[in-house]
Amino acid sequence: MCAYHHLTDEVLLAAVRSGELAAFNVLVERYQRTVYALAFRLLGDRFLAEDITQDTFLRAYTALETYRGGNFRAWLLRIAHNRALDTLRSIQRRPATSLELSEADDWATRTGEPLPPSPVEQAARAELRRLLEAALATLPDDQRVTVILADIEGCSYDEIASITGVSLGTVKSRLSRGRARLRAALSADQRARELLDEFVRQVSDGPGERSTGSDTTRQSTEPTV
Amino acid sequence: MQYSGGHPSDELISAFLVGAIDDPAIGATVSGHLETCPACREQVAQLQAITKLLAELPAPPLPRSFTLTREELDRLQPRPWYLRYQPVCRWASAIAAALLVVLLGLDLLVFGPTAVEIPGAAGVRQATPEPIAEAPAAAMNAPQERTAAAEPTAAPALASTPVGKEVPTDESMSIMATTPEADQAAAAPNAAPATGGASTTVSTVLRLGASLAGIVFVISVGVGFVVPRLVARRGSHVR
Repeated sequence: MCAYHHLTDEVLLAAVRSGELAAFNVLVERYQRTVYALAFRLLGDRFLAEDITQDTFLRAYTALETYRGGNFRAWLLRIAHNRALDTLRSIQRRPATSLELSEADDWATRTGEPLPPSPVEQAARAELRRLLEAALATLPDDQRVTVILADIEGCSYDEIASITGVSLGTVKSRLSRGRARLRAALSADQRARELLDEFVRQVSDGPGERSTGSDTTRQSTEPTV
Repeated sequence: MQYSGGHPSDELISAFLVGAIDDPAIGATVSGHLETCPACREQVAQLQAITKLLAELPAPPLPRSFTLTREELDRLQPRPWYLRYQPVCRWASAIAAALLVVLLGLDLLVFGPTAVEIPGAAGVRQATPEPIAEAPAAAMNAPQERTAAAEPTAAPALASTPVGKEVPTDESMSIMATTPEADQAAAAPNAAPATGGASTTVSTVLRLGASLAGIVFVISVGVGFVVPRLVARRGSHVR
């Protein structure tokens, strides 16, 4: 199974079509974090997210004949997105923010920071992330999906358009509205605003870390596999 | 996406960063404003910081691995019924098609052109009363002719009316045909003689077999070819 790990999606899919379940499981391992994270952030419930992730891969496997090449990740995320929206509609409730917060704490402590400047800054950054994650949970579904895919998962606008089934213009408009809303939500909170201003100062002081223009470059960037 | 108090709105600035402003004039205005307005530049910095933070958000921990096992696949997603019967149905459709052609061809070859002789043979037998008894029996094979059996008064009338010799050729046809005329013809006095012909019975059997083969063909083509294709097409916009 390890021999498969360096292969591209297309090569793996060819192996899957000839009956290699192990090849499909390499794809599962490759994308399960993305699929689960999308489902979790959309539903705010780890059990529902688990169901959707499992269902997504089962569906992908059984419906593989309908995949006609192209971007496998986008195809997979499209299944997950549709399943998650179906579930959202059926339960008709917003994600549980409290759960979101406790989870965010977990993630921060588990994953940590690559070379954090200082423990204080690290704690502040973790708190800001937690607040951001909470603010994200309050966005309307369509904006939230778009922000998650674009800014968290790093999908191209084209990919997002195909995943969510809308035009490129709609993707951009949802993304800009979602980000503006996130900024407004963080600014409205005293603590969050302080932390955000602090973070902005750190970023602008950092050595050439300004992310200006990242938006325009992303659009043409191919998804990394 | 408007200006408020001389400053572009939150959304307008965000749209500018995303590249979502279609009107180049508006884009230039926003760009020009950002050059000169520190407050709006701060907004830009915040939006960029948020984008950066979002990219850093750690993925939620996976509760487990979602790799599939063969057992899981068999248990959770049993092969759909149409796929299970697909090979059988494909064979069945081929065989049924062949049978259909052979039976119809045989019927046409043997009885089609020689159908004129049958009334003659049937006409001889008409003198005897037996055909009356046979009429309902034949009717059982062809449901369309139920009316003949259902009307007892019509059946005795067959024997009493001596129309014997002028049995028309279409009488033999009426027994085999599944058209509405069959009802009328069967109820008519001259129906009985034609059913007596042995060759007619063979022809009926042939056509009955052909109909059965036709039904099997339609069903097996449906299950073996049409249903899987329809499902596959519907699955291409996976929900």
